[in-house]
Amino acid sequence: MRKRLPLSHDADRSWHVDLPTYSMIPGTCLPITLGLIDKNGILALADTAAALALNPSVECDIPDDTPMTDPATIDAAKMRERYREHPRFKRPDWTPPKIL
Amino acid sequence: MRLQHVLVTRPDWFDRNPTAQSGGYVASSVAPHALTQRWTYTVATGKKAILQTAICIVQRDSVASVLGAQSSYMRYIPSGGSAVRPLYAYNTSNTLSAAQSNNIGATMALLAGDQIDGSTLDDSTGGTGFYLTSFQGIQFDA
Repeated sequence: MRKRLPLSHDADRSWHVDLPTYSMIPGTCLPITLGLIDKNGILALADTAAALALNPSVECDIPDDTPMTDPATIDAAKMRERYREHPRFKRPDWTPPKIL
Repeated sequence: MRLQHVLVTRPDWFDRNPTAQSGGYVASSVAPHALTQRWTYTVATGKKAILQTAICIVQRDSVASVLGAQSSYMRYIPSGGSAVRPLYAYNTSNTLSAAQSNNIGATMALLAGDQIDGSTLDDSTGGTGFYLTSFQGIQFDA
């Protein structure tokens, strides 16, 4: 199913969506901002903090069987159980991103 | 009374509740951009997966004013292990339509908690590129 999700940033994955399985839809990044955010992602010379401050987001395909508690909320407990071998997604302090 | 030994064989992997898995990103005229994880797939608990095909392509669509590197790659991150990059397409040519590609087929088994992902990057100034990174596999009961 296609959902709009927030873009995150860390040292390992750089810009990403904080989910175990997804595919970004090309041309769907928002908000398009001169010098910072293009429709296909965060621009090469963009300041990371400045881009993050704009709450960038992107449309993604995520698995149809992703557990949800309501249409905007991925079920964190069921996701942690589903990926309990994964060092990040099993952790109690990992929370799935909010669907926008 | 006759005693009979009944052979019970485990079904082959492709008969254990298989589901097709795929992910990818393909776009042209993409401006220079920061490193971005375009897709990822993680094997769920109680499952395994066979990665059957994967490909990464980069191509220069329009020339850069200051040339950087265009790349498109796939990582394999075993559960609790370090990432490796079995596929890496990397272009440092500013010639229009200069391209690099890299692909694999039918080579990788993925265990629960293992993850693969595909990313793209262009740290040039100006110009645009074409990017393709994708995978296809089968997930099944472990």
